[in-house]
Amino acid sequence: MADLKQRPRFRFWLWLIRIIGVIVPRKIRADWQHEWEAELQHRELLLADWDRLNWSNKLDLLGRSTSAFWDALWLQPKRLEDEMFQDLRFGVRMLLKNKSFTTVAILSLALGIGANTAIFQLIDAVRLRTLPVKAPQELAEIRMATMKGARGGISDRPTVTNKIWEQIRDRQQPAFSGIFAWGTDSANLAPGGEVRPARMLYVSGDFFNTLGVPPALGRVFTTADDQRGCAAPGLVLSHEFWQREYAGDINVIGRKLTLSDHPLEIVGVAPATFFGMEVGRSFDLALPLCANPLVRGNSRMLDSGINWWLTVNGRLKPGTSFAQATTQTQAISPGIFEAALPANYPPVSVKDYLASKLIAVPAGSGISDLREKYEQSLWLLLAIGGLVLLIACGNLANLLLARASARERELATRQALGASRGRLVRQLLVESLLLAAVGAALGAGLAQALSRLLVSFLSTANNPVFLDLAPNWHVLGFTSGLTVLTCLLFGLAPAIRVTRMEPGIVMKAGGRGMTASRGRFTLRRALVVAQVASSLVLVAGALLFSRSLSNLLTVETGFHEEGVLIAGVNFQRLNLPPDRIQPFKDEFLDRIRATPGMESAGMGMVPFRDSGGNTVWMDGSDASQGKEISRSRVSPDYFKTLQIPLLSGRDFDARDKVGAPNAAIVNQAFAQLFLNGANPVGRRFWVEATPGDSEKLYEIVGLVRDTKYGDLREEFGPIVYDNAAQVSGSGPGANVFIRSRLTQAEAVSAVTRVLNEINPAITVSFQEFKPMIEATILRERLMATLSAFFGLLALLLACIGMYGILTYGVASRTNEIGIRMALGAARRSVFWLILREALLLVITGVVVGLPMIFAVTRLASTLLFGLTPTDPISLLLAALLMLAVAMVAGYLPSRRATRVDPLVALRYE
Amino acid sequence: MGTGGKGFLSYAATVILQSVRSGYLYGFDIIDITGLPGGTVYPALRRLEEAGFLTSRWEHPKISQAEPRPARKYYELTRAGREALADALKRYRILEQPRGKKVRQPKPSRA
Repeated sequence: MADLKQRPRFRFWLWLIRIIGVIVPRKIRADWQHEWEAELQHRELLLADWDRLNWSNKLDLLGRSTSAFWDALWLQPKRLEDEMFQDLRFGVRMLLKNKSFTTVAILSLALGIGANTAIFQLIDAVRLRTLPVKAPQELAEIRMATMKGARGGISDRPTVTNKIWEQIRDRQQPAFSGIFAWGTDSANLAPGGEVRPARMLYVSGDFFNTLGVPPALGRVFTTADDQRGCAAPGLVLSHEFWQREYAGDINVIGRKLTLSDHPLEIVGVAPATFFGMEVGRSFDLALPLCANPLVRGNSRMLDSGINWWLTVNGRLKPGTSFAQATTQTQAISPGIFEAALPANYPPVSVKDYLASKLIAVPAGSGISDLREKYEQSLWLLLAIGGLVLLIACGNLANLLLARASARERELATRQALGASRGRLVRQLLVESLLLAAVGAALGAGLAQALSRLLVSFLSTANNPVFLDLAPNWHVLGFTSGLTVLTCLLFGLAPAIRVTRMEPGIVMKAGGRGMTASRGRFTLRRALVVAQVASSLVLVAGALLFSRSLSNLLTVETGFHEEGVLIAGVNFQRLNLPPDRIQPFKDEFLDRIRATPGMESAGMGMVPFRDSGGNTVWMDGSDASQGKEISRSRVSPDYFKTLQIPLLSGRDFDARDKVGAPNAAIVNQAFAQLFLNGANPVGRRFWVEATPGDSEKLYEIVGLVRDTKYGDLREEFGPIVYDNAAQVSGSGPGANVFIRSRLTQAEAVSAVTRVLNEINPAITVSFQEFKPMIEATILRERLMATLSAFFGLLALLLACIGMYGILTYGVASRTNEIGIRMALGAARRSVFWLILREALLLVITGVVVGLPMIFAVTRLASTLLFGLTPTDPISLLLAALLMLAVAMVAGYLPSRRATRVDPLVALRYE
Repeated sequence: MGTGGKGFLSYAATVILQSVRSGYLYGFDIIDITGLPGGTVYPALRRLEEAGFLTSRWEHPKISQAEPRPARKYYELTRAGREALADALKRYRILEQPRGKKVRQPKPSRA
């Protein structure tokens, strides 16, 4: 037999077994370790016997002991079976036993978790997700540091002109492995009549390749596709468009699609996940940039140098930082702007234009108007939703505490039989986790529907919102985290509380129960007070948002938008010479006016949608005293149609034609700003030079009432109205405002018919003015609707919570009430006894909640209109609502208290 | 490595059962004779035991104390195990061979 001396001192293999043994379920750990150690030691002895315990055999032993890890891993399910499974099985049994409790708990959790997940999904889609392209973190946007030097047609975001893009493209860009530009537009798929809009994505040749977006079918563009003057550009369809218009036909490649009379060949289909570079918006058709003049017809978007419509992106070379890229783009900026400066650029702006700088900023999550507009609201809604979930958790904790009274004997017995407190807490937590998990599973399903509902809420006919809402690991993580959190929130306190008692005392106390003690009741009351306080915050918030919305809906706009139809008429396809365009517009406007049922019709820029402004100064002063004034371009009868009162002077008429002095109409704010409110009719003013026009003198012929210009929230500002007939170079399109005695459908068909009679190639799209204005306050509507929903839910939950605790109070005070009644207490005083408690709870809650409101609503102040976050009416209403809830919740338990039969109650004493 | 009561034995499970039948009763011996890695053999032994094809016992303390080392665990075929093995051998014909002599102390292999 082996001599003990021969054994090595450090036997790593045995240590390893001990370490691995830690993960073996405790119940079988000793046996397991024993078996492995015996085998290893036996082998070791054998080797020592043969004198072969050399290094390589020692390594062999070590190798064998590592395979114990796989063995231990395989035994893991046993651990579950051991303890977890028992807990789970038992938990399911307990939950099934108490079906009504389980149903209420799961439903409220599903609602709470579902609503929160839905909002989070939206936040994830607009904020947290990166674009579905290759290595999105490498993408940069090369954009103007400021748009100060930009003149001409400017979009809301920083963009560049095609001339600037061409300069960027043609210069060395050592920081980028690829650069591309893109811009959006819309086109009409219908050959004539009512417009069938398609969302266009114009892209430079390298767009798809630099993004790393492969075609789903056919091919995508290359630089060869994007050559200036391309006569037969190809088309890449979006996956959605391909499915919708071609039913996913795989033979679509090579077929032609006619855009503005040009049959264009379909060369490829983009993958389903790719929606473009803009989060919240999708595209129908992608075309090379060079196709723009072809599709738009004589458009100067590529050559003018004053159409700011392109976004430039680049992919950073590996190892290049955004700061390095910015240094580089800034260095080449002077050369770019020097070369791209358009000839007719207004001299005032040339200096700023040339001083413009390009910077590189991260663009991995794309760009999004939606994000800028809604992000704050969504986070706020998530906070509101979270608060509602907290209230729901409060209710569940209360219910669990109440249930604990019923189960305390069971728990005491188990504790007396040797169950550790940790084990009991775990058991109770497993039950909570089961509830939370089932609730979360239902909630996750609900969230899919809710988030789609939210998206449809944000979509309008003209601005459909497209968001990728497929659940990803963000959402999964959020929901799981929420589940565990809620479980701990509503399960932990009751579990700890219930297991804290002495089993002996509970067993002795008999059926009466320890949990009815004052201490437990205080916790439950505190929970209800917290619920009332949180509900108060939510209800006050809901009232603030609703009142804010109603303020916006009733705010004075200065015009009368009800019943006005806007027809967007486009006659580009008639290819009229420039001097025929204005007469043509006058002609079809007259024809529309002559249609039976029409009251008035006028053309003009659409408030809240079209905007523009220039520096203006009164004749006699100089340009340095000029102010930036909003401008609009209208035809005669525009004011009549929108019912904007003419306060002085006259409307535009036939006298104001090309060649005559430039006529202008101004509003009250203009007169106030420049003339201290004096009648401006007959006065003259100058408008600065623009890329299309030199400095011009105008004579004011009329004064109209103030109207809103950019949005409902702004104050009335000064506006100058130009006469459309005197503006040179107007395009082949117009917005016609129509007020008629006809229904909307009749008006639409009448106008369509008239235009069709004039020329079938004229296209037209219709929009009602009022809904269009209402669409501008979608965010406010969203906040009002959702906060009202959450507020109501909170009220309901608080009501249920209060009802629960009062009912429980009455039940546990039956004896006391019995004695009171036996001693001659009137029913009314018993009724008040209980109701008083309800009121006390609510008043405490309101007192606690008010400071919270002051703290919380301040966050929402920028979203409010026409009231302050501490609007007294809203706060008072909220407090009154809470009191009403207390009455409702307290009525039934109070009445039940008065029905207590003293005899029955006292029999148990 | 399916060993489920109704399903077929996997190849590895069959080999293990067969080596037990041939007298290789200890985990390490089975590893040596089958050439399968320990991470396969041990979980398989557990599964086969759970399925009722094997039973395990601890070595008599007298043997282990003499060495001195802890008692080893050895595995034996049950009746069900014997039947399952016979069934499985019909499928894995390559394993059928004349019954080898029992070898109590195999020469340790170098894994």
